[in-house]
Amino acid sequence: MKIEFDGAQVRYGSTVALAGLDVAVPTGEWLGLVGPSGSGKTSALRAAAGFEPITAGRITLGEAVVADGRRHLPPEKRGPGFVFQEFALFPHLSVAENVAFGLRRLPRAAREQRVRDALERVELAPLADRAPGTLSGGQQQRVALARALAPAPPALLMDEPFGSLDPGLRSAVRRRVAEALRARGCTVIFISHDIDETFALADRVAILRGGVLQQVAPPEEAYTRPANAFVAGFLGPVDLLPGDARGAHIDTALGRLTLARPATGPRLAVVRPHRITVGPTGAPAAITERIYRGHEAQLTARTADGLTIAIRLPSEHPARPGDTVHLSVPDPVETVAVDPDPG
Amino acid sequence: MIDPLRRARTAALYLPALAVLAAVAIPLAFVILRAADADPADARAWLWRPRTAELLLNTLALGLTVVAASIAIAFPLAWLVTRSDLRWPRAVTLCAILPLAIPGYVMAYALRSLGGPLGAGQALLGVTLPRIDGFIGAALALTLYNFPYFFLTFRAAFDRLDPAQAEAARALGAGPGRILLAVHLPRFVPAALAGALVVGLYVLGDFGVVSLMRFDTLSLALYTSWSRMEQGALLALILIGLTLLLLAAEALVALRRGPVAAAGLGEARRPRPIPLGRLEAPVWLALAALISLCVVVPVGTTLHWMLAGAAHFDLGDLTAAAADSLSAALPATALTVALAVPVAWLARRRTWPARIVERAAQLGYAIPSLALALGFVVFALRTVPSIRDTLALLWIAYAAHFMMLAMGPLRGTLPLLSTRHEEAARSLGCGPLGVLRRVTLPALRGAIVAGAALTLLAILKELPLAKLLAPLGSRSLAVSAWAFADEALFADAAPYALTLLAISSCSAALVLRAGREAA
Repeated sequence: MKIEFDGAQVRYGSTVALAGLDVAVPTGEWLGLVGPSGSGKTSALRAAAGFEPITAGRITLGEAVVADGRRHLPPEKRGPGFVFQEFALFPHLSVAENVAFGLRRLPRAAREQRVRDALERVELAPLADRAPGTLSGGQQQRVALARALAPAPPALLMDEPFGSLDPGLRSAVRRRVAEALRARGCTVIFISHDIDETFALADRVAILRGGVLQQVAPPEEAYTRPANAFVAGFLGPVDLLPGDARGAHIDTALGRLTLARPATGPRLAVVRPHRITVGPTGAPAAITERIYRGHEAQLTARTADGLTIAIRLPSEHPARPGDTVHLSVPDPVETVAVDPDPG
Repeated sequence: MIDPLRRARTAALYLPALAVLAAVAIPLAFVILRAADADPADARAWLWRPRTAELLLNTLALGLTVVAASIAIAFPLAWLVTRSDLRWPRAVTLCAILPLAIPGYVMAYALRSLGGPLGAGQALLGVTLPRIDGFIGAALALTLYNFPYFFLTFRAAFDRLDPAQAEAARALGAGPGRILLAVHLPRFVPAALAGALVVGLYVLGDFGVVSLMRFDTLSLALYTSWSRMEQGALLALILIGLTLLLLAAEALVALRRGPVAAAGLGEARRPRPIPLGRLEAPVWLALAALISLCVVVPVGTTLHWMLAGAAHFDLGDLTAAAADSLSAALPATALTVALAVPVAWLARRRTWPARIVERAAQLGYAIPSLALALGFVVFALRTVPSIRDTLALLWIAYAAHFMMLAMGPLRGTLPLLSTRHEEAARSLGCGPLGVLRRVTLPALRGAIVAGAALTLLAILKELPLAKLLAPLGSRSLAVSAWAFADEALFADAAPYALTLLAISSCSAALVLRAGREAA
């Protein structure tokens, strides 16, 4: 089932939660929604499910227009499943009964088989008869996942679906759920605060800020070629070096850097900290801070013109606060426009 | 916008809320109206009599004595079962809670029928015990009925005392004295205040005990001046004023205390029990005295009178009274619960109409029953006099009075049910009516049944409203027990008192179970 947002807008009174979202998610694709709190991720997800009316634009699920600002198909007629951040397990039903809730049309034997399969997939089969209130947060979240998986919906909308799982189980449950959904060709839109998780699961990432879509692209492209300074910073640590671009290169505090794509005028060079090398030549900078992180050391340096630079080095590197080092960027870099408010 | 049902549903929530608001506001308004009819000069003269001051002093003295005596019994008792090495703490706990199952007027009946040359004491022990009545009798009966409330709150407070807090205080240099004053005692103040409010309101509204013990309080005076409604209305106003004062004090305390939150993580460790040593024997002696006074005496006395009057016991009279009780209680329970479900649903949103209705339900429960009854009678006489002689007036009064009880279990369950559950059901293919049928009502079923049971049992043993609002010729179990006891026909009262003891035991067991589940 493909999911299309055409200028979808969600408003609460005079507050615009989602300002004209345009994204088309083809059948079987996984789209990860990221952005700070209040960026409109949850509103977009809830609008697709039918929990929030859209005030303008159009949402299409499969071939059917389900909302266009006037018409509004109720959630139970739309098709996608939903996994809530708060789980929303029915307190009066057992784990198995919760999972069976969406399977009423199936004959009894088939229903019980589905419930067993779904619970086994999230490794909860032994707890089938327990009451949800007696489970841990992570177990409740797995019940919520099983409940949404059981009816085999053509699309699944998930709000922080793995956020409460204990680290030991998290990657295993994630892999098994993804396996099942991929095998079925289920279309998925999910929200996660964990960028690594989003990169691992998503075919494409959509970055939202203040209700406005900033960029939608495959993870590698969004990370290496961010659309703007906000995206560059949101997806990982970054040094944004102001400079003057002259076609094939840009002059910055770290010297003249090669551009991956031609640009001109005042721009920000996007340099990931582990791309900066420390060697005998380069721009001099004084180390001001060093945080040991086991496999690497996270350093902060100050250049001659007062710019603060983050660097990642192997933890064996001898540089210590007070030392002066020489920094250079050997690889070609991308640039973004100078952002008056990079967030 | 989401669906047209939502609008209809909102209206369906506000109508019952308005009904509850009216059921509490109307009697209050008519008490005020009736009092305002009095000639101001006459009213002032009547109110400024020494008699009014005497009633007020009697009521306050009784209330303070009962609170103080209850704390004096409950605090050491709670300490014994939680902190000392007393044997069989669970059995002692159960005995300390048992008096909750004995209605105050049955306790008063038992105590009053004990003394004197014709009393149960003479028949059973061969000794003429002194008569127990007046202030001492009323204070004793009310204390024995009420101390379990304090016991339960103190026990909970002792259980919540985390030894780590005392250890933290010691690590910061505090000695045992400062720990008791600064760490432990503040934990008991809220419990004591909450208990004092419950017990204070109970004493203010009590009619059964003070009437049988012949001790003049404001409530009893309101009853005896029932035929002179103007003066009754003035007394009712004083009672309502005192109730509002107590409620305001409680709100103030709650406000200063802030939300009750568990401050800290992890499990509280059980501290090492304190050995009783040589005190063990006297402690058991005191416990035996207490338990025989508050359980053995009422049950034993009632059984004695039951056997003494067995010869002319008439099952027909008892069944007729039970039928009268049920014909009042069953429809009233249905009405109360039918209103309580939507009102509790509304009250879970913290909007201002929700707060008002919640306060109204609380007020309906707290206002002394006699004042409430007077308001309903004046209302009936001035608007539809024919309703005065029907059960309908009693049903409405019960709904206003016991709304809080029916809402109680719902208030515990509703927060578990958020709009997310409705959304989850709908994303799984369930329509709005299906949500009501498959999610909302089943999830609430337990709470609705519990609320109905609490309300039904409370109405069955309720005395003043049944006495004053039931139509002529109707005599419920409680009214029968009270009327016979009031005329010192102790043997005739026994079958009714025994039946009420049974009803009351079920009610207490339910309350305790609900309390355990909430904990």
